[in-house]
This record gives sequence, structure tokens and C-alpha cells, in this order.
Amino acid sequence: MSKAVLLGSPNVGKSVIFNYLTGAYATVSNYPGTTVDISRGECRIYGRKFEIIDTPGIYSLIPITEEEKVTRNLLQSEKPDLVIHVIDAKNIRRMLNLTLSLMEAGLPVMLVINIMDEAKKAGMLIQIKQLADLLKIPVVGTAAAKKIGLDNLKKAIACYTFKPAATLSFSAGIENSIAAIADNLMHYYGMPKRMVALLLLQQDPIIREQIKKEPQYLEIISGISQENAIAKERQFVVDKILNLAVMYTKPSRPTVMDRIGRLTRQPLWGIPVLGLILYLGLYKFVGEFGAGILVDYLDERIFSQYIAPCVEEFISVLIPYEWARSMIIGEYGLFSWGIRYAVVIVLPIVGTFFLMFALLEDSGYLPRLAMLADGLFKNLGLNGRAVIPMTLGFGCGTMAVMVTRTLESKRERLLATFLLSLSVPCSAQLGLMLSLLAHNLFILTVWYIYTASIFLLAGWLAAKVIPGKSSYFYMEIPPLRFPVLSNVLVKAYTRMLWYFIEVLPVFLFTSLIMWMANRSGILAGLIQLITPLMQILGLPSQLTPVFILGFFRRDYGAAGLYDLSANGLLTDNQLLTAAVVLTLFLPCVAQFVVMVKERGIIASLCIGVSIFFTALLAGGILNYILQLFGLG
Amino acid sequence: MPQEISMTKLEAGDRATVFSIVSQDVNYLHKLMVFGLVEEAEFEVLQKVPCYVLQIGQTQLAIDKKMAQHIMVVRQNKKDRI
Repeated sequence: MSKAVLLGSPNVGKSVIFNYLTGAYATVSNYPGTTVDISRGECRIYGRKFEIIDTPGIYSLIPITEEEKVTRNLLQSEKPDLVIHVIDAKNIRRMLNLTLSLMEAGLPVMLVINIMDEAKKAGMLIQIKQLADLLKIPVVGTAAAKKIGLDNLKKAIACYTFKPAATLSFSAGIENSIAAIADNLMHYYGMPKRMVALLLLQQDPIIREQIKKEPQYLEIISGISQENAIAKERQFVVDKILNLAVMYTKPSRPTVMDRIGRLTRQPLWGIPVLGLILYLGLYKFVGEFGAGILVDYLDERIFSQYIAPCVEEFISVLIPYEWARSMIIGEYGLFSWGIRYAVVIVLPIVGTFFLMFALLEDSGYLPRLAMLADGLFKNLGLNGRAVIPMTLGFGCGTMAVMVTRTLESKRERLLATFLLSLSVPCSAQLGLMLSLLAHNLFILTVWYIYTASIFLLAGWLAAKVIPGKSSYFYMEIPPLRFPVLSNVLVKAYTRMLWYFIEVLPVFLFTSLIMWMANRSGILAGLIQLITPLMQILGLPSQLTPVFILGFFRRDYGAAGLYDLSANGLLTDNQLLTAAVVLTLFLPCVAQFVVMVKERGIIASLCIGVSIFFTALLAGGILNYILQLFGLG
Repeated sequence: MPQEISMTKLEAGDRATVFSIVSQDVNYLHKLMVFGLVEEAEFEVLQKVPCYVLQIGQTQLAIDKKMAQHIMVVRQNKKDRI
């Protein structure tokens, strides 16, 4: 089976091409020893089977981020039969540099110039055949989102044969440096010596590390100057090629999308647009549809009416022991509680969130949000890039903690994890909180403002306490584009699958623990222990199981709150205090587990303890204020 | 004699060319280079608030003030003030 690696910068439409080639049948796996995930799929073209490997977006072969390092190493370790370099047509002047670098490395390269339609609108007419003749590699023009050129792509892949590319000559000074270094190299690094020398001259960190074992290491290093003359010369060659292969006409007039794209970069418009997205996307779609209509349908119509009775019958007949039956279908039972919650209640909510998030991702809105949020986040010790994990946190905090890997410094990853665990409610919790508090607009508003303030205050304090600086904010702002529906669906589906595989076991584990605690009387004992704390918050002791549950999953706690409130056991103000404490409370067990994996056990325990006290303190203060104003 | 100034002195709508980048930080320089912000690169300042957004060729790049202040530029044409 032939192996092809798909490579390119972010925002070039690589995933659309990947999904087109492989369908939805791709597996995502972790690249060993790193925190980066790689997608692999298979495709059949004219009877030939290909394994297609998708790589994270890279800007250059000289890696800065961990993802770029993984892509570099992958190219060496996988030894692909074909490297499909996907570029954004209108950015060809910038991106062709990477194509040349790949060819210099001796890789079997094919160029796919995607999003040709935008280039045409910008007045750029790229002569594909000219380019192919000049570069001497296959070149295909596509507009994958519009399904243009994809057949040609398949043909080019099927017909690909490797021809060694002509090596690019640099100026005398650089060639001399290359020769000097190449002569001193004793070991083999999986690529031509010329390439190793070139990478060294460009300050490549991977090779620099690898050549430490060279006997002539010091001499090699001394021959490297700081200039980026190589990049300049390569760009010069690219420009010469483009001079012959690109024609220019008058660009089209800016479209509506262009105008909206510009507006969303500006704070004046950006904030109302965000408000609109939150209302339509989060409140209406995830909240009303996902948490409301979908969950009710699945729970009441399908689960309670058909599935639960069948399973209960089956278990009652099959298993004679009462304790075993209770474990599966009793209170806190694996099936009646664990599976029901994971599949019927949380999965639809999280699924609708992932759909909405994928839509936002593919539209190109998120970098604009990041840019607008940068100022605010700088006060929290982070920068605009943290917007992505923070936003995901409103869907599923566990996934968001994983995504904090993309933040540049350890300090930022820690601060982001802390904030996520403290006061970013996941979609399941958010849905339940809203239905809990919605009947009283006053407490809903107070809840929202109070928890948001705690978020800002705690973030600001944490940034002061943990030493270090925030890193630079830089981000490419792609044009706003209509998301490709199939791509959105695949992304949402992949994330839902991940959720199922990673989080469902934790639900089951939780219900097992709760069942054991209930049966053994430990739960009753815990309730006794924690009741005094409840009194500080002015809350009745019936709320204790709510908070214990809340540790395992905040929405279990919220559901418990809901029951108590529906039975008239809580005043609205008690409800408010309880809701605030629960929102700020420890993250669910799944999130805690991932936190330990990502940040380490010590950091996680510190975060856990500080959150615990912050939540209680915030609740206590709120209670005090409410009492003070005679509202208790 | 065209004077080089820090990018932070430019206004929205200004066009300029990069004169030099005052930094020894290899990562920082690489990040700029990858988006085409190198010596002699031409660009336009699309906005300054909430952070800088530059149009470099067909690419729009957002950078914060910390990143912008090390970039020395030469303004190319005066903004037409109507």
C-alpha cells in the first residue's frame, strides 16, 4: 500500500481534502512521545490503495511548535511515497518557499494549489501547467470546498512517480558554507548532507540537537552565521518562478463576506457579533435544542419508554443477586445512572456544542475572536491564543484541558487549566444551570456576573502569583469562509467519538463509586461531615449529596439542585448561592484525570485545593452579601 | 532622507516597508519571517486596535504591541487626510 503524507499551512483547506480522500473513516492517534494527534485514513484510487496521513498545519520545515516538530519527524520516520503539499493559491508567493524546501529535502513532492477561486477574485491567474513545467513536479489546481479539481487530484496521485528534483543553487557564499559543513558531517540523518547543512544554516533546532554527536561539532557550529540569507535567496527564486507562471488582472470588488470579515476584526462590531453567536449558537442551539428538545426526546421517549424497561426486565431475569441488580439498574446503577447520563443526557448536549464549534472553526471566526480577546487575556497572564481552549471549555472541559497543550509556555498552560477548572462551565452543566435559574431573571444575572467576576479576579491573582511573562500574540487572520458542511460533520463526529471513548468509562467508574458509597453507608457519613460547611453557606443539609455528586460531575450536582428546587426546598437565594458554588466547584472527575495527565499530580492538587476554597469563599461572601441586603 | 521609525508609530491605513528587526530572538524572527515580515517587505496597517493587523501580500497577520515595537519601518506614503 502506498503511503502519502498531506502537508500544508493552517487554513489552506487541508482537512477538506483529507476528508474527501478518506471519507469519514479516519483514525486519530497520538504520535508517540508527544501530545500531538495524527489522523490516518485509507483511500482507493483506480484500484490502488493509499494510506493518507494528515499532519498538523506547519508554516515551515524549521519547527517552532511541537506540532511542526512532529510533522518534520514524521516525514523522516514514515518515509512516504508521496508528499502532497497543499497551499492557498493567493498566498503562493509565501507558500511556494515550503514547496522548494520539501524538494530540497529530496522528498517526493506534489503541489496542490487550493482555494483557486479566492486567488481569481484577488486578480491572480495561476498558470498551472507553466508552474508544473518550471518546478518539474506535478501541480494540481483545486477549489476543494467547491468540489473543483478533485478528480484531477485523484488522477495526479494515482499517476505519481518520483523524479529527483533539480537542486536549487544558492549564491557562492552560501554554497561554500554548505560544502564546508557537509564535509565535516560524519553521520547519516535520513536526508542528503546538503539538506542537513541547509537546515543548520537556517538555525533548525532539531538538526542542531542531532549533530551534537558529531566529532567536528564545534567547528560546524562556528561556521553558522545569524543571517537568513537562505530565506531571502529562496524567495528570490520563488519570485522568478511566479513571474513566469502568474498573470494579474483586476481584482473583484470586495464581497459581503469580505466586509463582514473586516467588521469582525473590530471591537465595535466584534462584540455584538460575539453576542449574537453566543445567543444563537450557545443559548438557542446547544441550550434549547440540544439540552432541551434533544435530551427530552431521547430520555423520555426513547430511553424511558423502550430501552430502560427492556434492560430492567432482562437484568431482573438474568441476575438473581439483589446487590448485582442494584449495581446495574438500581440507584446510582451502572446502566440506570452511568450510561443514561453519558449517552442520553450529556452526549446530545456535547454533540450539539461540537457541531457549533466546528462551524465556528471552519468559518475562520476564531482567530478574530482571539484577536479581540487578546487584551483581556493579557491581564490573566495569557494571550489571545487561549481563546480556543477557553471556548472549547464551554463544550467539554476535559477536551479543553487537552487543547491547552497548544499554548506556548508552561505558565500559560497552567493558568488556562486553572481558569478552565474553576469557572468555565461545560455545556452539560451550563444547560442545567440555565434551566435551574431561568425562572428568576435577577438571580440568573447575578449568577452570571458574579461567576464572570470571580473568573477575572482569580485569573488576575493567579497571573500575579505564578512567575513568568506572557508570550507574544501573533495569529494569521484567514478570510471568513462558508464552512464546508461535510467537514463540519466529520469534525463534530470525531470529537463525539473521542468523548464516548474517553469520558464514558469515567461515568461508569463514577457511578460504581457512588453506588458503593451509597450501599456501604459512606455517603451518609460524608453528608454528616460536610453539613457544617453547608451551614456557613446558609444552605440546608439536603444539599450535601448535591456537592458530593458535583465533584464527580458538576451537572449531576446541578440535577440534584434541580430536584430540590422543584420540590420547593430552597429559596431562590439559596439556589443562587448553591449554583454559584457548584459552578466554581471542582471540575468533573474526567477533567481532573486529564489535568493530572497534562499538568502533573502536584499542579493538579494545588489547582484542586485552591478551587475548593475559592468556591466556598465565593459562596460564603455571596451569602453574606445577600443576607446584608435582607434578601436571605 | 527616509527615517526609520518603530511600527508602533504608524497609523491605520499607513503603508510601509520593513527596514530592520531589532531582535536576537531566533524564534521571534522566524515567526515574523514565515509570514513574510522580513527586510524590504511591504505591508499595510489595517488596524491598531485591539492589536495590530497587517496586510502583507495576501496575508492578514495580527500581532500585539510587544511584537510590533521591535520592527523598524519606513513609511511609504502619507495617509491622505480628507
